[in-house]
Amino acid sequence: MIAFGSNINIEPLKRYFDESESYFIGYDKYIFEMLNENSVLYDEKIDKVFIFIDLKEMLKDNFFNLSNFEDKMNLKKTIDDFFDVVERFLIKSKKILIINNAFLDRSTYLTYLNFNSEKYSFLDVENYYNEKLRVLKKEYNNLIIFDWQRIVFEYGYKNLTDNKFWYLGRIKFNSFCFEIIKDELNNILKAYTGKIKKVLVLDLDNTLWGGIIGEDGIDGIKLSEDGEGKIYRDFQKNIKALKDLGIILTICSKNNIDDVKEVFEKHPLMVLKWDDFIIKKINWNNKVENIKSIAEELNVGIDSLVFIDDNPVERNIVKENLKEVEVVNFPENIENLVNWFIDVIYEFFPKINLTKEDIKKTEQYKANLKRSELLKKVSDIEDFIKNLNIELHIYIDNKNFISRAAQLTQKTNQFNLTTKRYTENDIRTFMESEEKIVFLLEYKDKFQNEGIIGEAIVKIESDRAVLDTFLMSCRVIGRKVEYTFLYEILNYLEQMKIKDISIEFIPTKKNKFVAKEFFEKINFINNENIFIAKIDDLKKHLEKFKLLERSKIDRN
Amino acid sequence: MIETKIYEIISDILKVDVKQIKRDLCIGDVEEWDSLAHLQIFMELEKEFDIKFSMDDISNLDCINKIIDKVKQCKK
Repeated sequence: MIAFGSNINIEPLKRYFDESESYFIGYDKYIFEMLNENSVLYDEKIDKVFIFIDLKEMLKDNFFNLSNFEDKMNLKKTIDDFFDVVERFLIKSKKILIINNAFLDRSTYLTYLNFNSEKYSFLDVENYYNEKLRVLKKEYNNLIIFDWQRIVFEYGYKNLTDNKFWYLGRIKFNSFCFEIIKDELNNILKAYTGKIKKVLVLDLDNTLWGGIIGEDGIDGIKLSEDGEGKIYRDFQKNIKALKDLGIILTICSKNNIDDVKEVFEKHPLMVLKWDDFIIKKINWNNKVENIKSIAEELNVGIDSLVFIDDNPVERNIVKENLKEVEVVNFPENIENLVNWFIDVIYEFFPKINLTKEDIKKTEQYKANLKRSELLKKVSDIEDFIKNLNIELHIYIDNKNFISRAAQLTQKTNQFNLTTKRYTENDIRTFMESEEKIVFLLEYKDKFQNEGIIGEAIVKIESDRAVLDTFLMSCRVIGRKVEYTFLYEILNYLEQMKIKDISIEFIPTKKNKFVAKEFFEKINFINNENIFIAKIDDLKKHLEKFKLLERSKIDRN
Repeated sequence: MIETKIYEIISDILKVDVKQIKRDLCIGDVEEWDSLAHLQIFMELEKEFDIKFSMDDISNLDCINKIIDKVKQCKK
């Protein structure tokens, strides 16, 4: 099962993955989930974790606060902190972690991204991030880099993004882009399914070189540094690169072995060498039999073979008799040979040189001193939260926020205990009435002011309060904000001489993870979906969660 | 043609059987059609029909019949 996390909304990816095989942690929760060893990311059913980082969002408002060189150092500090968390997760969880390299959108910060102004250039921040990722990758085999930069360079940032979805729902990418991300990710995941191809079976004439060696001779075949012959030479270079990634090369060709050997030994421009091929079936036998025996001799499944041959007749015979072998149509225009190889053939092979044994090895390295120092440095989630300098501000019946209050009840699905939807008129009535109180929560930390992200509506029934609505934007969950908010509400009610509170959880398809988990943590009374507690008792219970200190209530 | 394709897209995103999707279905009528699904419908329509919606379009086109009319108008 693969878990998805990000600092932007990547939930549109959900539809491409089987629900039983994927889990999405709410957005901007990745740091907390990576630090929290009780989180779902550490669950044994999760074996891979994909974290997509938008660097610009990670640096948040700091990006705008550029006034001197020190600010830039602060950005680097943020990146350092992030990679400390990543490294800690790699060691502690031992999961396969897939993280993208970074690309900073050049168009938005024109001056800051100016190549010619060293002081104000943020491109070195991008480089700094990517270099840190690369260095970490060298050390940890369970870290895989998702090559986002390559995708952006290949397709162009503007073709992949759409501002309106960003402003409407924090979705940066369009459908086209999500499909590319899905494909790229599946390519990486393919390496772990065991169904990957391992062996390339190559024809020679008109495949590795132009022409037919038996007729044209060593001086007549096309293999050169210019003209058509260069196509074959480039093709060979790509095959060689595949071999270096661990793919097994074999030959299956109808030829006289001496003619072929002569090319390998004497042709000055052959890139591939005789010994690059593990098995060479160079004879006049049926290719079906030759391919069968290649699989047998290598002791691999016949389905791990990819067969390349320019001759459609040979391809058909193999296709019909050996259905498990991947037989690919050869490009009709030879100038497309290299592109075809990269787009079609390369896709069959995993892009990461990684085996399960490699991952096991990683575990052995974990005693490494440097890492234990790191674990001391990023000691735990408590410290991390403390360092965020979170400030909460609670507004009571404040009419300036009526439309935001209504919108929150309309839009919040995941962290919403009752999912009751209200209009602006409803909210106004509640604020004006004596029996209802509308609490709104504003969140700020050292990175950003998130604005009003939490809401509670309390109904007063003589000396009992009923928590009619309790909701929060998912991006701040996991930072004790939810517990602190509830605690402050209880404090307020207590001052109104209210003794009991009734809290209910109404399950929906959307709230069964985050909201349910929270409810189960605060319900210390019973196992039902509703409980009534003495306010004093519930406060004592909440204090166990080590609440945030800096919150302020505004009674306007 | 356009209509069938729109039904298919909406059914695919909401993960609701296409038979259950009626012309007068609106956002919020089924639990699956929430604000995120709503955005995804438009993302997919833009790609499928090679058209662009404005932010206003996305908030105003809250029922299937309105969506169908708008797409048809764009494709004229």
